[in-house]
Amino acid sequence: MIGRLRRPRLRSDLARLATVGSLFVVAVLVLQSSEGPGALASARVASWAGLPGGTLQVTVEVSSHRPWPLPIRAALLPVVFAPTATSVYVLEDPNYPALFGTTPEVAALVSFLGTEFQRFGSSTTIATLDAAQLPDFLSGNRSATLIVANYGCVPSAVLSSQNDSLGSWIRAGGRLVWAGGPLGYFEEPAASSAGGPLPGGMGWAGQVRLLGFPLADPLPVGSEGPQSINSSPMLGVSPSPLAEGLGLAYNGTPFGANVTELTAHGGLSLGFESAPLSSGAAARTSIAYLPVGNGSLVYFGGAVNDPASQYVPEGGVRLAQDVAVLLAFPFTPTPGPVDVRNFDLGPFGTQQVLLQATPPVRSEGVLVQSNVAGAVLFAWAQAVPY
Amino acid sequence: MRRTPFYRSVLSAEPPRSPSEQETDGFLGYRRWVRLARRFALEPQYRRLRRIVLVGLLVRLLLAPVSSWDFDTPGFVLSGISTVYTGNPYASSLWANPPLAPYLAAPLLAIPTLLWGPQSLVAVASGVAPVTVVTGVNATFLPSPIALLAWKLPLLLADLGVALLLYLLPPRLGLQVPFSREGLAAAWFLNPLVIWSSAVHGEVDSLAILLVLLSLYAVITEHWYSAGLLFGLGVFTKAYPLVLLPLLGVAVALWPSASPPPPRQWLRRAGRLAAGVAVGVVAFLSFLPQTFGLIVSKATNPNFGGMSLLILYNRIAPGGATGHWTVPTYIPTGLAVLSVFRIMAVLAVLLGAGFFAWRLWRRPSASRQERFHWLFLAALWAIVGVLLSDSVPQPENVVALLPLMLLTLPAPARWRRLAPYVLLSGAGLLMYWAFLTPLAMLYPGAALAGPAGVAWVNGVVLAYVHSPLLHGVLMTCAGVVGGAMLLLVWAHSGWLLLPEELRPRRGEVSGDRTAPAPATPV
Repeated sequence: MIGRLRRPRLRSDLARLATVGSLFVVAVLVLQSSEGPGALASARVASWAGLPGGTLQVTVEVSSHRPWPLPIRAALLPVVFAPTATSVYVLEDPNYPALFGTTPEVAALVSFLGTEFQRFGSSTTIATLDAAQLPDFLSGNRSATLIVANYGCVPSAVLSSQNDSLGSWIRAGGRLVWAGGPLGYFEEPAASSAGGPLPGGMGWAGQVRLLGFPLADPLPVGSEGPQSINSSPMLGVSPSPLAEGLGLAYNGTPFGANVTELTAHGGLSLGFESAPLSSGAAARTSIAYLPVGNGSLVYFGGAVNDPASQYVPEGGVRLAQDVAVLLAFPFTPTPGPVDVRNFDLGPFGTQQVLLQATPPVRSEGVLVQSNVAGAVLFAWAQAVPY
Repeated sequence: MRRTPFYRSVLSAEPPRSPSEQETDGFLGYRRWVRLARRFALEPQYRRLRRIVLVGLLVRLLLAPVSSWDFDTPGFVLSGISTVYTGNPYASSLWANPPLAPYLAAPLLAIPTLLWGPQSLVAVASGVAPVTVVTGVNATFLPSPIALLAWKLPLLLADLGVALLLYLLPPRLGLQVPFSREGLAAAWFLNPLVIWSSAVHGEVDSLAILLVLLSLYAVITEHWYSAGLLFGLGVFTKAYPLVLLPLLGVAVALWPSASPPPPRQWLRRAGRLAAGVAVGVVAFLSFLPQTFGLIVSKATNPNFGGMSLLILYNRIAPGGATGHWTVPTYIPTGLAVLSVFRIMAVLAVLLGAGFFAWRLWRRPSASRQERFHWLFLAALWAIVGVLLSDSVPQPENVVALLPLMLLTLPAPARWRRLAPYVLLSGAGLLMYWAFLTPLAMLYPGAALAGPAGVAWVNGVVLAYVHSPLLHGVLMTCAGVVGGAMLLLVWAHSGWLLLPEELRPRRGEVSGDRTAPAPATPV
């Protein structure tokens, strides 16, 4: 009887554990197989039609490949698609002072962008360079994108009162993505110990040197200083139409672009706009797009924090997410109306949605995203095939 | 003779099974689980344990749905949701640990996702922004109560698992402990830092230490497949169990076998250990780069924090706090100081394994209880060394030390022996509370009460934030006490582990365990 009691049903407990272990491994691997472009959902332009009066109607079909409800945002956007994808370069230098965030956050941004580009099926490539490499980079790479995030300063070898290599590069076709502090306010030698006092620079004249006009409002004369370089409300509250269409989330405006100045110089507000200031100055936007010569500037109204130790809530996460959406697809925004539809796809569901807009010029693209609890897990974009 | 399977050795009947219970256990012993649960729930001898479990669970279940901390907890929930949709906890870039925990939470998060959609799980509470703007701590993302409960439930069960291990192991291993086993279980299960770590913060440290303890128990009972599997899963929960690898290597080579050792016993053991580890490695193969990257980044991070004596300044202190204190508050760590603590950590890992090997080799006739005690001491010494060298203050990591401190407490009972345990736990909790006051953990609950609730919490928190001296004093106390206790634990456990032959003075050492206690056979 004792012998019978000792014998389990299966011949070996090792076999039981092996079965459970195998099931665990298989379950994990199956769940992991849902990564990659097209694994979560797919989208296509089912049909389009031009109506009298210049109205464009586009029918987009979206299919879910998951057994869970999938929130979808489909937008018809006034964008122009470039023929080829761009290369993205990120300034990442642990020896360079990061005044509006941290260098580890920059490293995390690079890693995140690489993952997101892959998830979206984007052919955009990404690489890093340090401050010493910037001058050589700017002498070539005319059609690349350069991200300067969290640092808030560039080497004086590329931007100073005597040197405007950075501006020349942008005007020749480069795209600068700037996040953190006023554009061109601080400058620093290429190799410098981080953590020291705030570096010097052209101050508010830097943005004028680069762009020819003050994009962000300087403080009233006489109140300059590192503790008081905030001239704007900390957060934007009203999403612009393009922010809603692109699904952007970054809302920091401590150094946000003046919306009036921006639009007067041909730029677009892509982000969240603050209320007009009590002084009567115009609202600020958290993300600005500005064509500059043959190139462009994407200017974030802040990064993670400022030298006065104020923080943009979830600034690092939202900044990274928005940069990924803006750079994953080779489109540039143009003025025009936006049509956005939000809906939920059921498990393994398919749905068609009609989008309609009257673009001033023949430039439209469709962007479909799935934003699950704040994370963009799926994105697809395509030019409308006129 | 067939060896007892590992799961049976954990669940071995206590007291002996009645004849009516002598039946097959079912697949992986589920019937034995049910019998054991019924026994714990109904028999009078477990009354005190039941009270401890009920009180601890009640506190946790009350706190878990209405509390979260900083952006950590929302980030954990978001990574769990990412896992549900993409199988990748790193898709949201908010998960900074190895991948096991999101996979455990994913089935639980999938239920409300399926019923109400993912947008019901996390909401933006813009009312929290005023505190976030000023402090950089806390988040406007607030998980819903159901999402918080789904993430934290496995962690609460891990807390309970460790408590039950602390209750079951000492008599089974013959360990002399200064308090009753109910006292040990209560010291862990009702520890506020443990409750905070799992039920409030949602950190996975109790899950990691549960797997570590089970792995060490599997070594003791010579279940090498199980030891490898549990060790591997522990590493894929939190990276720090990896520092126990040298210890496992020594155990593979030198742990005395209960039966006559077969030829090349160490090779068989190593193979079985590796086979167990392979299960976790194969399952998470695609995440090995992230896991490896986490380990390397921690080891090479130039920042220094830990709960060390150098915590007089904290980089993420609220604005206007210690940064504006009038006395110098920032002590540059520098590479030399950083190197001291990192060297101490390496010493603890390598020398600990070496001392353990020395003792096993030089005293083959040592009692089983002494060997168990050395094993737990060596694990304690390795982990505390790593915590001393950590790059940022992470009090939840202290949770990993607490069960090992309890299991290595020397007898006879002297309450002062518990002082490092109490002070370390208190300092860890104080360090969190000193950030923004304990109220800041209740934003999810306050959000349920509406904007007025959030505004009230904001008022209290901001009033505290604008008291830099109070904040600085509390943070400094937490750092000094916590760091001193970590150093004390490191020094004391290292001294106890040091073989007598290598000590400067021979003779009886206070606190050393030389007399084996009567043991219940494993």
